[in-house]
Amino acid sequence: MNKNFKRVKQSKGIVEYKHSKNDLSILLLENDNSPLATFMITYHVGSRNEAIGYTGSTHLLEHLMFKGSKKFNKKNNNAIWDVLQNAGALLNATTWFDRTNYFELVPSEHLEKAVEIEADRMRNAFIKEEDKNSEMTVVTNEFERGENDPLESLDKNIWSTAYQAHPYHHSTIGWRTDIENVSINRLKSFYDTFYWPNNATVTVIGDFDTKKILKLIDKYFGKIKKSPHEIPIMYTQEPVQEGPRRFEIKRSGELPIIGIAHKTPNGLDNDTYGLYVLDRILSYGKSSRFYKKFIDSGKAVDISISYYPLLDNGLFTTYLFAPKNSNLEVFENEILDEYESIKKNGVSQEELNRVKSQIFSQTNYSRDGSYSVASNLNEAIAIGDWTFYTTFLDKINKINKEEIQKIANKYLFQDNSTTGFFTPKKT
Amino acid sequence: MQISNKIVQSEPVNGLNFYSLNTGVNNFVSFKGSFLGGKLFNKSNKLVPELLVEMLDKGTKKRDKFKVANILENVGAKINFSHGNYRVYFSGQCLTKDISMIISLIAEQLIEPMFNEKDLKSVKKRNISELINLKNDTRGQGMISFLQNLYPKNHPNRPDQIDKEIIEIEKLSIEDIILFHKECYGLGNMEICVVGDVDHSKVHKNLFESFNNWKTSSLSLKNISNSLKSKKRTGKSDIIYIPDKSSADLIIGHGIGIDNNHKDYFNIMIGHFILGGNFSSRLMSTIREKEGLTYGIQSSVSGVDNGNDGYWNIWGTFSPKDINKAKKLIFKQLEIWSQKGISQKELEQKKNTICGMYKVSFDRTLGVVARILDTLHRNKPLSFIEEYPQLINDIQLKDVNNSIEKYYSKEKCVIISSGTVK
Repeated sequence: MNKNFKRVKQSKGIVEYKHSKNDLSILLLENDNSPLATFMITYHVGSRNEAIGYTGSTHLLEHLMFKGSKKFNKKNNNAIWDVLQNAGALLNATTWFDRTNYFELVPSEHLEKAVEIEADRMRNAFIKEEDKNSEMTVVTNEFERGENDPLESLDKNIWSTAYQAHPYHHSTIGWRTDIENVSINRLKSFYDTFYWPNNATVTVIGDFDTKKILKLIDKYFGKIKKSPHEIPIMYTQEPVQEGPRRFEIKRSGELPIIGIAHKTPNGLDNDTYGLYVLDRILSYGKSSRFYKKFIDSGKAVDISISYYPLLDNGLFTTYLFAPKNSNLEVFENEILDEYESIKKNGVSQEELNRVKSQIFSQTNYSRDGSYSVASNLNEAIAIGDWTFYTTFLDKINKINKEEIQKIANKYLFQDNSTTGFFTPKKT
Repeated sequence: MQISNKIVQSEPVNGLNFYSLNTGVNNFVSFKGSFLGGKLFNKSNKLVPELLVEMLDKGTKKRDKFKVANILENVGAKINFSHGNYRVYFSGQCLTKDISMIISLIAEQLIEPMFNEKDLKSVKKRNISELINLKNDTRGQGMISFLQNLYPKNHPNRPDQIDKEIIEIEKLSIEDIILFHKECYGLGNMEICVVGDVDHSKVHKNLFESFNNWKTSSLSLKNISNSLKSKKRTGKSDIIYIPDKSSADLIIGHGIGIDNNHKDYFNIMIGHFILGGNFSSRLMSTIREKEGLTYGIQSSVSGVDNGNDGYWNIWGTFSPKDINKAKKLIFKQLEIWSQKGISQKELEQKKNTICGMYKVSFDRTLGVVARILDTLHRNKPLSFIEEYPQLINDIQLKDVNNSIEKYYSKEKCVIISSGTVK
């Protein structure tokens, strides 16, 4: 093996390495089902690392990362989008609360180009004033598109009401005036603080040879030094909530929507697995409780639960679209009645078995294609342990119905709740 | 990448065609199938075929809807039924061990569905609410107006007004659903494709046993007239006003009068790909990258399947205050594109992009299964899967530029702005 890499651990075929000079983490999974591979780099920085005045900076910076770097730029006639898209690559980047990731799904023969580009822009991205000015209006339009959607508006307000101190208070896109006014120096400083090999994890999945890819990663990333500073820790914690919170958005629209959220623990907490199962018992598929109660009966238009593990605490939120002119309080009571039923009576073994089977199958499906595996790993990396992805099924299998009842009682109580109404305004 | 010679095909029986492809994935398969029965086959009320599809998961004569759901969910499988203008589709993923059971269940749902008044009432109510919600969708409303300006009544590419669809839903009865199923569903034009960890002979046996006694459908694509052509009109500009919207949608385009079997199709398709097909296209480079006016803008050719005369359109989102500036800049790009044409370098780059994207679309079994069915629906041999990149590589610069000139007319453009714009 390449002497510049230490093998750290292995789980379900995925092997973790660490570059011995700059602490870059690498996850590899060889799979030659098709002549394709996904290269992904995940930076451990997201909107949780922002504060008032520069909310949305992580996302705006992600946009600027496509504007050129020392080797790959318009002047050299090899801009990042052009080079990769002309090779047929599927490429993009996403920003979320806890991470920013850049990825390329490429025919395997172009894998080296993806490695070279990501290594170059890790420390040599331009981050220029003129690019920020044009990209700021692009991101503003992205913000505006989101605001067009009543559900997205309601979701933003749920998070900002539930979280007051912790930076999950603001969404990844940020507040409009912050997007419009953040300075280029702030963005540069953000880049210089977080974009280092010791704050990143590279994932390669698909048709490649481990020895060769490690050689390529060493060739392009090996020369980048680790950060000269410690990566700052975000230490703000949300104070304990001491009572239910409520709000209402009144805006033009057609259907009323209700969101009921309850705070949940950090993603690596053992209760995450029980909450995941609870979500599915309530809302997944036609056998679920909510489907039978609200959709099959024709009472509601749509109902879903939004729950995903995060690095810090999260939210377990039920969203329901009601028919036009409905009284949302009636739906609120019916949703809460279902919570109370589980708190009091628990769930059945049949429900638990069904959800476990669903998760088992879906874990198999999630290995369909190199991008799918990389994408799942990306979220596990973001919450602090990539083996969350590989051990997930084993942990789910250990859940019993008593734990589900206990978890429902532990988190789904009134003082831990935030309820929002989207009420269509008559125009 | 050679795929077609690895696809196993069964001898068709009563118009039931089965294809399978074994790939390297373990323990699961992706499947997709289709047959004629889409909304164009019921002229009096297009909503009947649509709602029928939504009733297919509401139980069978042997099992009620919750038993069906339990069977699927207990093994983590899902069957999605959907519809298009022409076809009804079913698709999903399941573990390899369950594929025979899933095939039998699909057959039961299609052959002996349980249609009842109560379920229909609930489906109708939900569909009406979804349509009401669509009135608030700037893109959806913009596209309805755009296509209605392009196509005459009853053309396959023309959507109905939302209020008309609501009335049609309110009118339809369980008897309409039962009658359409009785008269139109059946074998004769069904394809099923299974990709992944699949044993062809095992699935074949189960499939042909499950559908063995189903009647033959009377439907044929020949029943659907596509003699209606897009309106021969000059340009038009319209505003669809929707209050309280931060972002507005702009749609510009017109009919092209050809389908995807026409000799010019690939030329005009790649011409639009160069104009607005991906991030490095002309519109994204200028309107987004340089001017910073939009999060996304694209240009493409659509509505060209099954012999229909299609259209091209540009779609982008803008801050309402920028909509007029965006319009001017888009037309400036259209003028450069149509008058100066594209360059050899651009053409070669985009050929590489399209061929690479095509290869990448085989990353997942779901992508492979969709590609195989798409080839069959275009009446192409399976070898077309490998021939497609060659067809792209054979495209000539002069033909693309001639097609751009031939199929673009500023005077014919329909321009729709949708959102809080005046």
